[in-house]
Amino acid sequence: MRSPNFRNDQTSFARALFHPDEESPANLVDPSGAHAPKRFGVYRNNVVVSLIDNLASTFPACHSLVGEEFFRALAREYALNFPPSSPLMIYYGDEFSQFLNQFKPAQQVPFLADIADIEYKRVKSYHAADGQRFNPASIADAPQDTLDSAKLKLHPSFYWSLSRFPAYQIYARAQAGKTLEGISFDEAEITLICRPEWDVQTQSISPNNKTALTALAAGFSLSTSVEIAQKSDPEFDLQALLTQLLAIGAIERFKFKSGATK
Amino acid sequence: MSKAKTATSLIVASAVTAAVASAASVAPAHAEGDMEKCFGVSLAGKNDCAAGPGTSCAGTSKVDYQGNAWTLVPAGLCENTEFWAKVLPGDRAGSLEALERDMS
Repeated sequence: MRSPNFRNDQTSFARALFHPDEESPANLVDPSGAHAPKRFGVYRNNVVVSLIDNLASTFPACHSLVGEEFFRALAREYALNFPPSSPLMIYYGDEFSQFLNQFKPAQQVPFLADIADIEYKRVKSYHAADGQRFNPASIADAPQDTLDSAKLKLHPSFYWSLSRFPAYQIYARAQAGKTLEGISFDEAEITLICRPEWDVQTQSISPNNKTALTALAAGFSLSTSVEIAQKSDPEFDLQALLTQLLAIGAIERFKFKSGATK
Repeated sequence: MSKAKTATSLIVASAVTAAVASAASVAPAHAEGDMEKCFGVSLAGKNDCAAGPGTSCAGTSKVDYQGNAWTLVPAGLCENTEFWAKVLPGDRAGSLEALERDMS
């Protein structure tokens, strides 16, 4: 039967789960009615360990970059401060990248937060809605003079991540179990993430595409995006960007102004 | 103004045409019909879906090769017992239907 203080008990139980330095809830008893701090301690440990395991499988590249011991220490700190807000454990870790950016000990590895950003976006991309494959014939009979006002319809699983480090190269090395030898850490990089069919794809492009990509993703037309991009980079190459976006399946179609959006 | 506009239009038109032409020449890695759902071959937590009631699906299988969890494999591979004999322990093979074995 529910005790009259059920709500209070539940709140203190939940609070104690994520505060290992505090006493177990006072009203918690075993079947004989005795206070049960040890049983609670076992449960509390299982909860936190399962969250750490979950983070380790969502962020395998971060895990391999910093090693088991350091990763588990970071993940424990995250789990205690950011308990799950949803029962869908596939999405646990949505604030891990931000946490790594702010948590002092993680800053020994300054690119770690950016790797976590790529890995979490891969999870979101994997679970995103299915999209359409680009049909090249769809632009064949679009009038040439409507091309520049065309906008992009991006794939629902498309994400991108900008890093001031070569985050894609670091991610790829970590996933392949290779060392970071020879990487020059002062190169910025953009990582494109998309799941055109079954598998999540990742690809790196030049950071010079940042302005155009931001504009296109925000729904500006091709010509406006080019004009904005050229202000900061006169050499901006739209063809190269579109080729890379098409190659990873990020563009579903071009939307033409006349309403003929085939 | 109108001159600049024309220049941008040309850049956009030629960039789109060239990019689409190069995309059209790249064949897709797998057409969607080329994959099938294969039960009983996923490692724990690595299934694509269907790990049974009470799970949120992808990545929820509890044991290796759990019979009611599936993974997408290239069509035709799932029922190739010679292949699974080489890659799975014991006499396990994949199945196009959910299996009873290796339940958590």
